[in-house]
Amino acid sequence: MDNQTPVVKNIDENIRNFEQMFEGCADIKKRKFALGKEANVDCYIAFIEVTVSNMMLSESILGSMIRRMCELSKGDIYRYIDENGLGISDTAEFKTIEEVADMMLTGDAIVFIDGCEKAFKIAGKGYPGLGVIQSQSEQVTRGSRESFTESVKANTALIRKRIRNPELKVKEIKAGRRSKTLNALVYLDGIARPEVLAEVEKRLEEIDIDGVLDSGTLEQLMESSWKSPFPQFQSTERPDKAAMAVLEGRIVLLTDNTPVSIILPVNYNSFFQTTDDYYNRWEVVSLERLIRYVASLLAMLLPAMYLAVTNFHTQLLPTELVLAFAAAREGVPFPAVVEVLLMEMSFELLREAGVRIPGSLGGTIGIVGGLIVGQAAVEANLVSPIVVIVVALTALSSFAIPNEEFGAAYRIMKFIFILAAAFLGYYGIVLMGLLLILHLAGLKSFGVPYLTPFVWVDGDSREDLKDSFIRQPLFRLFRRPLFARRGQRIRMKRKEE
Amino acid sequence: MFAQNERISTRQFKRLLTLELFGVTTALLPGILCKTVQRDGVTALAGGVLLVFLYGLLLKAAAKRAGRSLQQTLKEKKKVVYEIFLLVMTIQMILMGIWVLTLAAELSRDILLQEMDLRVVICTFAFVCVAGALQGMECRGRMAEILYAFLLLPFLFFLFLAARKMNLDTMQPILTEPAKTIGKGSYEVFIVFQGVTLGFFALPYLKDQKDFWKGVKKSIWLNGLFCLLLLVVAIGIFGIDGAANQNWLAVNLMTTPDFPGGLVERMDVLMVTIWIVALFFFVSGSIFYGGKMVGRLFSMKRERTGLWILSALIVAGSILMGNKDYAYYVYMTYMKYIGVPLLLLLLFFICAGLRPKKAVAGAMCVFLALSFTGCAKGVELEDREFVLALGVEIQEDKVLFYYDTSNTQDGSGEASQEVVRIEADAFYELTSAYGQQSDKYLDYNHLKALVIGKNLASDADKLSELLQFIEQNELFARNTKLFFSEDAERIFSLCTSMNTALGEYLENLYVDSDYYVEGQSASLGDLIKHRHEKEETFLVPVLKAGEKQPLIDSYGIVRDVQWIEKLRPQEAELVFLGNGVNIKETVKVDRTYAVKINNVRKEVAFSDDKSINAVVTLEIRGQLKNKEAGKQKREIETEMEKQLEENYGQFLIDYKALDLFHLFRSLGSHNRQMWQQYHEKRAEFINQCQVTFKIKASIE
Repeated sequence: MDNQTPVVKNIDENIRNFEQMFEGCADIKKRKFALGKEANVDCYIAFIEVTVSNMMLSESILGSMIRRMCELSKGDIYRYIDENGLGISDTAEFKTIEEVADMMLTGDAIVFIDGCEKAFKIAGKGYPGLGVIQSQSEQVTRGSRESFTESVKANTALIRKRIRNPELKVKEIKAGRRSKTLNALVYLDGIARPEVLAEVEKRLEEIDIDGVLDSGTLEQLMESSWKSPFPQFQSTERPDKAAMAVLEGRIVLLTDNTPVSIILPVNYNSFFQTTDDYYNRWEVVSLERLIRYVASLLAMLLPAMYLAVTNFHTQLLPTELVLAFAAAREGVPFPAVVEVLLMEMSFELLREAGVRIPGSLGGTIGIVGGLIVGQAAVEANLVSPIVVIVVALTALSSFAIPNEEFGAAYRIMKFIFILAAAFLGYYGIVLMGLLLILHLAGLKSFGVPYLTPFVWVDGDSREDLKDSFIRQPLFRLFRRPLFARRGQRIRMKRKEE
Repeated sequence: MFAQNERISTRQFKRLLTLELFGVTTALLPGILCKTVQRDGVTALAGGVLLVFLYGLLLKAAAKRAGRSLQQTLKEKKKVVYEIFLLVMTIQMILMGIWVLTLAAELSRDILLQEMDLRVVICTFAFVCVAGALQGMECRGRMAEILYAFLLLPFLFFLFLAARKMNLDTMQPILTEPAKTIGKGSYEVFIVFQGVTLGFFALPYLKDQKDFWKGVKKSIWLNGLFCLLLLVVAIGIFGIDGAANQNWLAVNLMTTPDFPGGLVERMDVLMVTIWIVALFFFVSGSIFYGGKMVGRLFSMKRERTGLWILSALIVAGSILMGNKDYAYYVYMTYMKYIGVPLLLLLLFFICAGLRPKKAVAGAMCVFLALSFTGCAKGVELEDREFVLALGVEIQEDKVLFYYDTSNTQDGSGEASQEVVRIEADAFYELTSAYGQQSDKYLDYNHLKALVIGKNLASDADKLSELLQFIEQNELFARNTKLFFSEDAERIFSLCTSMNTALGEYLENLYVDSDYYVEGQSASLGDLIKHRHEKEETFLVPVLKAGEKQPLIDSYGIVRDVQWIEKLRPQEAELVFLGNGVNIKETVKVDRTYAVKINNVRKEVAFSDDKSINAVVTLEIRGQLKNKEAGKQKREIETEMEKQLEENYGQFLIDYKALDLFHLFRSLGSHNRQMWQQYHEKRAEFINQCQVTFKIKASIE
C-alpha cells in the first residue's frame, strides 16, 4: 500500500485528504453532517451529482441509513455499521482514500464516519446512459432485439440473463491510467480455454494508456497482426450473440461506455455466422451462408474481374456480351480502370456521407447520390452503364457480409485487386489472390489459425465444417467449435436421425 | 496456442506434395512423352512412375533412419558426406527453381499477357513465391489444404468434358516402340518427378513422421494418374504428333470442350490458374527448402539470409536463361548425369546409418519487382475490333485476307458488321496487315469461323505454311469452325445483307439446327491435327453463296494437307454415317418410306483369311416418318439395309483408296497382329483391304 493514503479514525483528516484529491471538481457533491441521537458522530458523504439523485436520497438506501443512524447512540452506530444492520447487499469497505475515490468515480456514494478506520460505499443509480434499446446495426429476422447498453454492469447482466449458471464468470479489469475504464471478461469456467483467458488478461494488463474510451481502442492495442486489414476480434452489439459465443467457449470482453462487446478468439468462418442462423431452419440458413460467401468474393473481385476481362481477356465472355460492353463504352473519355476507381470512390463517399449525416437526410443522400452518380454520369457519358452495374453489385455484395469490420477488409482489398487487374489482368488477380490466401493462412487470433475450420488444427475433429458453408441441422451440431477446451466439446446429446 | 508452429498435418503434407508435383508433371510430361516415346507414352509413364515409387521407398528408408535427426549434428567423421549431400541438393533446388520459375512465367505470359516482357512476369511471380517461402511451412500447408479441391476438381471436370471428344484409336496398339525408347521415356518421367524430393525436406515439419510414406505414395500415384488421363485425352483429341508439337498441351486441352451454360466462352484463361498456383507451390517450396540448405551449408547466423541468396540466384538464373526449354535442358542434363546418381548414392549412405547435421535454416531473399520495362498493355474494349470470321485465299503471289469484324463506333450502343479485304505478301502479315489501315486492335479471341479459299486449300505447301503460322503463334482457338469455299470473296460480300454476323451464322449452323449436327463440322484443330497426320482424310464443309447467306453445298476431302476432291452432300452423309456420326438424315426407302435416323453405332472387324477383309457393321435405329409400318416393318428394314449396303458398295468403288472411314486408324485397336504387319504400309493395306458394309436397321 505504498503511496496510498489510509482511512483514519479522524474524519477531518479523511475529509482533508479526500477534498485535496477532488479539488476543483464541481460535479462532486460533498456533505458533512452529524449522526446519532446526540448528533455527536460526524459523518461525511460524497458522490457524483447525477449518479445519486438528491430527490431519491430520502427513499434510498442511503437516506434510510442516515435516518436510522440518527436514532442510535454513538456506540450503537459503530455496531450498526459493523453488522450491516440495514442489510445492504451492494456495499463494501475501503481502507485507503484512493480506493474510496475509485469507488466514488464508478458512480457510488461513499461515506466516512468519525471514529471509523474504514469508509464504505452505497450503490447509486450509476452514470446516466442509454437504456437497453433495439440493435441498430445488427438486424435479424428472428431472435432477440435487445442491444448492449453503455454500462458494463448492465451488459454483464444482459449476458447473465441468458446464461443463468454459476460457471459464468465475470472478471473485472481496469484499463487506462487516467480513465480507469472498467472492463469485464465474461466466460464459462471449464469451457473456455484457460490459456486463451490468460493471454487476454496478459494483453489487457500490458496496455498502458491514458484513457480507454471505447472497446475499439482495446482491440487495436491487443491485436497481434496490426498490419492486417482483417479483424482478429469480432464485435457485436447483441447480447444473444455474445451469450452464444460464451457457450461456444469463447471469451467476451465488455468495456464500460461501449455498447459493443468484443468476442475472441475468432476465425474466418465466424464472421459469416449470425445469431438468427441458429433460430431458422438449416436449408434457409445454408442458402444464406452460401450467398454470404459468394458475396464476399464478389465484393472483392467483381470490379477487378471486369477490368481483367474487358482489357485483357475478352475471350472469356460470350461474343454478344463483349460487343454490348464495347458499344456501351463508346465515347467514354476515361480508361476503364479510371472509370471503375471513380465510381468506387464515389460510392465510398456516399457511404461515408450517409453515415455522418443524421436522421432522415442520411437516407436521402443515398437516393440523391445514386441518381446523380448513376443516371446523370451515364447520360453525360462520363461512365458506362456496365461500370455502374458492376459497382452497384459490388456494393450490394459488401452489404451482405454480416460483420461491418470484416466487410471493410474486403472493401480495402477490392482496391488492391483493381490495381492488380488494371496492370496485369487476370494474372495480377491470381498473384494477389495467392498473396491474400498466404496472408490469411498466417493470421491467427489468440493462437487460433484464421482459416479454421478449413485448415487443420491440432486436436481438431473437422466437426466445425458442419457449420461453415452450409449449416447442418441443429441436432448434428452436437459438438462445440474448437474454441472450447479439449474434453468439453460435447454440448448436446446426440439424437438418432 | 492451438496450432504448433511450423508443423503440418499429414493431410496438409499430402496435399502440399501433390500440388507441388502436379504443376510440373501435368504441364510437361504428356508433351514430352508424345515427342520422345510416341505411341508408348502410357507405357513409359507407367514405368517412370514405378521408378518414382521405388525412389520414394528409398526416401522412406532414409526418412526412417534420419527422422528428426535431420536437425541433429552429424558426427564428425561423416561430415563430408553430409556436406556433399547438402551441396547436391542445393544445386538441384536452384536448377529446379530456375526451370520451374521460367516455366511458370512463360506459361503466364503466353496465355494471359502476350505482350509482356518475360522478365517482369518472372519477377512478379518470384515475388509471390518468395513471400510464400517467407511465411513458412505452416502457411504453405494451410494454403495447400484449402486450394487443393479448388484446383483439382475443375481440372478433372474439364478433363471429363474434353474426354467426350477423344478418339482412342490414335494411340493403339501400345508396346510397339523399342524397349530402349520406352526406357528413356521412363527415365525422363522419373527426372520430372524429382520434385518428390521436396517431400523429404518437409519431413521435419510433419507432425506425425510415420505418415511420411503415406503422403509421398499418394502424391506419386495421384500425379501419375493425372498425367495418364491427360496423356490419353490429349492423344485422343490432338493425335500423337499434334500433342507433341504444342507448347502448353494441358492448357490447350481446356479450350477444346464446350463449357455448358453459355456464360463463359473460353476457359483457358481461367484454367491456367490451376497451373500457376501449382507451380507457385513448387517454386516457393524450392526457395524455402533450398534457403534453409544454403543457410546450413554456409553456417549463416541469420535464418533468412540463405533464403534471400537462393531467391536471388533463382530469379537471376531464370532471367539469364530466359527460356523454359533451355532451363529444362540444363536441369535435365545435370540430373541425368550428376544429380540423380549422386543423390541415390547419398540416400543409400543415409539409410546405412548416417545422421545428417541440422539441415534446416531459414533464409530468404526478396527480389525487387517491376524494375524492368513497363507493365502489360491492356487494350480497352472500345479500342478493339473483334474479328468474327476470317477468310484467307491466295491469288498469284498475294495473300488475301477477309475480315468480318464488329463495329461499335456508330454510337447506337449496338455492334454492326463490317467486311474488310486486305492484300498482303505473306501469312505472317495476318495480324499486321489490318493494323496498317485501322486505329483499332484486332482481337481474334471471338473468331467463330475460318474460311479458306479454294486456291489456298488446294495448295499443300501454302496451306501447311498457314497452319504452321497459326499453330506456332497460337492465334486462334482450336475449336474455330472451318470451311472451304470456291469463292471466299463472294461469301464475305454477303455479310452486308445478313442480319447476323457471318461468323456467328456459320457457328450457329451446328447449334439447334434441324439438319446439321456437330459431327458434320470441321474445326481448325482438326486441320492442324491433320497437318501432323497427313494420311488421315477428313471432310470440310464447302460454302457456296446463296441469295442472302452462305450455304453448305458440298464437302471437301482433305488429304496430305490439301483439298483434293469434293463430295456431294448425299455422299458426305454416307461418310458421316459410316463413321458413326448421328446425322439428322432421313433415308428414303424404296421411294416410299421416309426413315429418320436417330442413332447409329459402328463396329469394325478385321480378318485376313485369304485376303484382308474389313467388315464395317452399322447398327442404325430409326423412325418411320410418313406412314404406319405395321406388319411391313421388317420388310422396310430389310429394304433399307439392302439400299444402304448398295450405296456403300457403290461409294467404295470410287473412294476406297481415300480410306474415308478411317479403317487403317482403327486397325491398331482391333487387330494387333495385322497392325504390326501393316503399320508402315498404309497404302498397301488400303489397296488390299476388301471393305464390306453390313447394315442392321431397326425401325421404331
